[in-house]
Amino acid sequence: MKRITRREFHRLAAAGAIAGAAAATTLAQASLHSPVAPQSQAAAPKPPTKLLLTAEQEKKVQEAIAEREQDIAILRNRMLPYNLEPAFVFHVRSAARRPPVKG
Amino acid sequence: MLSDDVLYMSVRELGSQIKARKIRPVQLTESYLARLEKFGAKLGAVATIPAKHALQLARQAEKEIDAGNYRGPLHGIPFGVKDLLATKGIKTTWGAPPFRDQVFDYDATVIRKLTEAGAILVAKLAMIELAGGGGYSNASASLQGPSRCPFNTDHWAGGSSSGPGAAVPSALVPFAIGSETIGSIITPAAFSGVSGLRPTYGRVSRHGAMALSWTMDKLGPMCRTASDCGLVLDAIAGFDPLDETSVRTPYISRPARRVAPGRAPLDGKRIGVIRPDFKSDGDPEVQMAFTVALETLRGLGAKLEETELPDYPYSAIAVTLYSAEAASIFRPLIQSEKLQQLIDESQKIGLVAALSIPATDYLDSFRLRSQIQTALAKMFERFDVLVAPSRMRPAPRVDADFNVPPAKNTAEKSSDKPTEKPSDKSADKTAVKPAANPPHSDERHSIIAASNIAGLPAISVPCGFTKDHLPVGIQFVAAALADDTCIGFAHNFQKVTDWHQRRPSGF
Repeated sequence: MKRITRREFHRLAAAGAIAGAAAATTLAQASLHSPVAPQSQAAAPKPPTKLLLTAEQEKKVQEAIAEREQDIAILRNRMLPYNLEPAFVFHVRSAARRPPVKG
Repeated sequence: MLSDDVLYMSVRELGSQIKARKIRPVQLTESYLARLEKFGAKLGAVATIPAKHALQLARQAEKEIDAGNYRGPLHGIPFGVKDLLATKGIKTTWGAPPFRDQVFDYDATVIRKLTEAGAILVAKLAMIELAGGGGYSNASASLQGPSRCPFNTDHWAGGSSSGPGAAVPSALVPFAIGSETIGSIITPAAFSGVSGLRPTYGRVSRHGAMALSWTMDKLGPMCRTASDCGLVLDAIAGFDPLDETSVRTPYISRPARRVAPGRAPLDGKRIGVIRPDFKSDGDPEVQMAFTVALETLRGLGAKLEETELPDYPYSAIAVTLYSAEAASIFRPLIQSEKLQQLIDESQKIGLVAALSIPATDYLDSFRLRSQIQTALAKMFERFDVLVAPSRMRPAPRVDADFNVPPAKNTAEKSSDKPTEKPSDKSADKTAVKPAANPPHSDERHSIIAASNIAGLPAISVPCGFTKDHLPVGIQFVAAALADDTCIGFAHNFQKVTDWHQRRPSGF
């Protein structure tokens, strides 16, 4: 087997990472233009990462987020005891979970 | 066709008649199908009528009963479901245009259980799109259009279980299954004069139901009597391996206890009264009906004591919990072109905005949920049930803008009393905040938000009507898993009142 230098290894690895990122970008762009989700949520393809909103909607979303920040302040201002755990508990499973029924 | 007197019977009465073979399932099914065809569109109550499928099941039920194989009190009884329950081979639209042609190849557990009990699905009923998860600003936010209150069709039936709200009191079905994340059974029950039960979280399997919030969604019966709610719950409750959050504690529907001579039915029972501030944000006619209902309960022997909920930001917590979960659930839709197919602009904006809820806020809400569970459980050491008006106002008009304060709606659109909506302190004062639970005036009175966060059972039953023939509801909230306690109080209330027996004119 041909041995490579440390410098050469880093160069190849960096090229691979860039290629991976480029591939991911291409895939993301492809999915943006691919057919939209089928009727069933269960069968939906992986979603694109960009929201398809009008400028007016973008503005309203920002307003909504700003308003939520105000409303949620009452929640954030509350001091929670250090040892207060959430009302859900992660639990291990001894057996494999049943596969979901296909829709 | 059977007479209206028969079709307005309770499920229990219909069951007795079927058992005695005085009513035949096929004839009963045909009669309800005819009413669904005749009035369904007028009330905006219906999504799909699977008539062929229903008649096939009715014929099978009739054959079994004739052969002496009577399955129980739901055998041969038609029913409807909110169109978010998966039904094999029948469209399940979730009330939303992007899912208008969606068909599942399996039945939701609730459908399976009811079918096994011999009940007959006759209608998929209308609903607010996606159960209003992103918020909605008017009654038309549904693929099926606005559902109308049968007692006054100028007004909304309530949401998001709108179709059940419209169909049950008009006898298009004897009972229906609705769902509640935060107010979606209690509200249409109040607005349309229905007895609607929101069971304890986990009491009924959610398998096959559209998920809006995994940790807050509940399915429950909407009937014409509280007693019927217990009967239907009996059939649909129970652990389901397909829903890991379903509880293993069995539900036992107890028949009404005999009252000892000289004693009142609610003797010794303790009721905590959550009385909202009607002056700041309520309707005087609702206040009056609620006050009279309290006197009725006192007359039944109950001890009433005014109380308030522990001080928590219930609305902010509830909205954070289910909005974050809804954003995760519907992300494929939110990030697709189909988002724009949704009807209500508030729904679109609300869902998109929910994508940016910080994880820390979601987790903090869940930590506060622990405290709330404990705090509310303590209240039930003092009280058997809590009572409150189901809604502080009667149903808004179908053309009302939910984002406009009631006074403005009134001035612009009708001479009615103020109908719906926000005050400065309310839970949902803008379009983008989900209106599945239209607002309450004060957090210490936010019983719908508080009890949904804690997963507690509640039932709303009619306790009066306004001068515009709009129903008013009272809700009974009990401790977790004490579903039968709520039903018992409501049943006793209905034994001495007749609001639940009123029929809408024209139907």
